[in-house]
Amino acid sequence: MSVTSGRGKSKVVARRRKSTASAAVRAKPAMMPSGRVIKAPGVLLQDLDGEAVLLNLGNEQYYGLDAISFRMYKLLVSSISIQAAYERLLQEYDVAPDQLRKDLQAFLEHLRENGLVRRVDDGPRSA
Amino acid sequence: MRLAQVRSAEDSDRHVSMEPEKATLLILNLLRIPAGATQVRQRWDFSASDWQQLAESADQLGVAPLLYFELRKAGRERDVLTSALQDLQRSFHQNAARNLRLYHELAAVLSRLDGLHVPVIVLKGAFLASEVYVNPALRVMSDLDILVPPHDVPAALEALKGLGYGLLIPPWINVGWHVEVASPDCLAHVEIHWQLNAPSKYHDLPVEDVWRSARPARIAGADVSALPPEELVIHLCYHTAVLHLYRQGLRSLADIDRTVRRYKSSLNWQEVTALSLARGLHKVVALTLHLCRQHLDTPVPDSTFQELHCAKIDSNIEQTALRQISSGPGAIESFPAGLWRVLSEESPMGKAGMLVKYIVSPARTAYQLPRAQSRIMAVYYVLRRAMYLMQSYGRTILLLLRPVTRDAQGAGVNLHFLHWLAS
Repeated sequence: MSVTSGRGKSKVVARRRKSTASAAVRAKPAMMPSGRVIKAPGVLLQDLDGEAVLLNLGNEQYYGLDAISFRMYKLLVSSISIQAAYERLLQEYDVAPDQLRKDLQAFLEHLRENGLVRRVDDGPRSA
Repeated sequence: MRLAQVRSAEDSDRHVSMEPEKATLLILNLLRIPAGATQVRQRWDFSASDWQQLAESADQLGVAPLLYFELRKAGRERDVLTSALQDLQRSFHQNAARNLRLYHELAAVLSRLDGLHVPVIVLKGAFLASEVYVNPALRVMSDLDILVPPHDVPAALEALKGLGYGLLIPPWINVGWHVEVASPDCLAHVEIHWQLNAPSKYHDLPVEDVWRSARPARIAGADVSALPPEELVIHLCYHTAVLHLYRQGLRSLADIDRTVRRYKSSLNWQEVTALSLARGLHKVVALTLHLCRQHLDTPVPDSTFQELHCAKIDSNIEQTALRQISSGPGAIESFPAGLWRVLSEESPMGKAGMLVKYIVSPARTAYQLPRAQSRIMAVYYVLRRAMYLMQSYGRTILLLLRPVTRDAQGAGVNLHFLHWLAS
């Protein structure tokens, strides 16, 4: 995973999982923070055929997302909860649950610190 | 392990820099769109320093985002030096963010103009990124260019002032067919055009024809107009060759290549040639299309060159154009391309006459702007423009006014090349 911005870069190695059967065996989900997140107002997103860029109009900072971090971002802002996004990522990528939890929490913290997402603590959305 | 990484150690103490023209040709080669799945995967044997220089040159020549995208699309990321690829990716993301910001601004501008019923043709980057490249991250944009009918210029200016925009430079510095304004935070510059070409006795792009043939488009969420493909090809050729003397890097060639491919099925080449001939642009269009076909495999039919009376392009002319491209966009600021054209006249009297025209025509346009609707202001603008040009470029102007000036030494513009383009 790679997020580039004016404030540096974080890297986590993860590979997209090829076999969903092995995912079921290895995945032991950890608990993530409760609630869900949405894209913050004043943030523009540009899908770049797999990668993406987020632009915060509030501070004019941009954040480049590579394919993995963009997938994480998309799941975070579209899932009914952070936990659901985490479980989905665990299914999709060949990564240890604890490692993914740490990566996802760090990523979420980075997004929140930079005003790119807003936390909504009202639990899962109704269908 | 990648070849480039293996070679990096032995290259680290060998700081041999690549010739700019060689870097330009290599980047053009990397940008060639593969002819299909059957194309042989070309092996690259670039050193680490070569890769680094290619990444830097691609950035300077305005095609770093496009190069990154093409490398990624072809699945060749692993064949590129990691740090060079990261530089290219950074350019790609930066450009995407910048264009995102510009389109956000354009949406507000177009909405305001639509509210005032001012018709707009979206020109150059904003149109190309959205409609030709389709992926708005691929085309580097420095500003937003819109064309409005001449009588709507004051209304458009007032509309943008209502959004907080202000004149970026004094009107006497403007070149006579557009006015440049900047957003309150200076992050977005908008050029409001009312003509497509600089005043010239050689070339003309009648704006009435352009409005007549304009077609609908949807850009930045607004219903606007756009140039038809034939006018677009001619305008792009004119812009890069005549206005910028090819010093816009590779971006312009990529624009034309993508435009031809995008509208390949509907592009009427006979109309392109007929319009180019009628406007005195046949050599300009032929040379530019030749460069695209030669270096990017742009699908231009042979018959087009024959009809443009340029079936064969002089290799010296082609080499000069490539040198101009390789010199990059930075050099254009050193001396206005318009002045080069003016001063490429053969006789001293011809030069002086064109120089007067170059000074007076834009000042007359400034006179038509809302703030300058009196004769006194018109005279003031003419004097200020003459002073500005002499202060900024006086020494070079005096040098070029001399009768025997075959080559503009030090500035790298070959007057023979200018004469060829104009003839």
